[in-house]
Amino acid sequence: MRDLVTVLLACFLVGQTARAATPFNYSANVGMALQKENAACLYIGNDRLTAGQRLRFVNTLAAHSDGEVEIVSKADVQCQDANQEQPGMTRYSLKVIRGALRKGAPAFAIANFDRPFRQVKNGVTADLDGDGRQEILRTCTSSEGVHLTIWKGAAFQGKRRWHGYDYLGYDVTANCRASETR
Amino acid sequence: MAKTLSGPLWVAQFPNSTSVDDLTEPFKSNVKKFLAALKAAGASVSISATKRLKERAYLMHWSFKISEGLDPNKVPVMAGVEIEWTHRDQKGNKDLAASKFAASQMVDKYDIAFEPALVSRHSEGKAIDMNVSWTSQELVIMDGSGKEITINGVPKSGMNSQLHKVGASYKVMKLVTDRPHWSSDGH
Repeated sequence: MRDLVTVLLACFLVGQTARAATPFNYSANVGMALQKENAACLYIGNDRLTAGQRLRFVNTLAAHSDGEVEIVSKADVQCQDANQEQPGMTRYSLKVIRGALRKGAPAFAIANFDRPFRQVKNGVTADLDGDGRQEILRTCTSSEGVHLTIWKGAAFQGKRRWHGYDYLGYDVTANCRASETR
Repeated sequence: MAKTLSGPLWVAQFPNSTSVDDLTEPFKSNVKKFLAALKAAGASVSISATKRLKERAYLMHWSFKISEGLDPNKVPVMAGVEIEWTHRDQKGNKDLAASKFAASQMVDKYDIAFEPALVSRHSEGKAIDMNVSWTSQELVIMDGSGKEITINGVPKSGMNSQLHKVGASYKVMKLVTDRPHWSSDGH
């Protein structure tokens, strides 16, 4: 029995060490999911996602909604978007597995993540990097676009870990703070 | 003039422009000079919006508000837009559910999820949305005073701060919070 406990403990510690050795990479694991006219699309700084790989998504607008998408193919022509053509950015087409992407409203898409989201006053929180502290996910508008940001600790005061932008193509009332758009 | 009930057919009305000629002077001439300088320097430019009609902004704004629950009777009229926001049943009574449904169809077709603004630099003809890029090592471009400027930093796009200064020399100002947006005053 003691041997079994020792083995289990060793496995646990090895697992913890492995987890600590591969920190959550925000730029490679977080992207933007968009429901376009004829396709659901992902824009992310990661060209190594493969068909069939699943990602969680969350929309942080008033009534937050989350779900799951699956990679269909890379560089899909249906997802071509001049406003998302940035160096290092890769586009994928998606299949929605659970929930619904809201047309016209970009959602956070997160790979290698399986913890819960929680709605709070100014966004949605989740422990994305598994360090036991919550990150806050925010959505705000500039004059013609949507800015998605992820913050470690308090929004606007903590460290910004990720930023995404989607051009809306129509004018809206800006409500972003400067730190959300830089 | 008889009014036409709200609904998705309205979405094709009052289309946006991508023509620089629809901009307001002197911004129009300033943009033309800046675009000519970009072209001469070998940059690629893709224009996605210039003038947006205030009538379209009105339709987008109020259809969004009604879809969110606003009483359609409270929508102000706009000269030149003969739209009837309030639908009625067969007895002539106000049908708020039908009004909301029709407005929601417009919102869906406009593809909007955020409340549209009624007035903007685009509706004034003082803004242009364009994606600018180049692939060469450096972009050598003439500024508004005729001085040759060499841009060798990154990004090689409209978000380059050196390019913003060149744009400003033509009185075409960058709004950095929105990647494709340039205007007469940076708003």
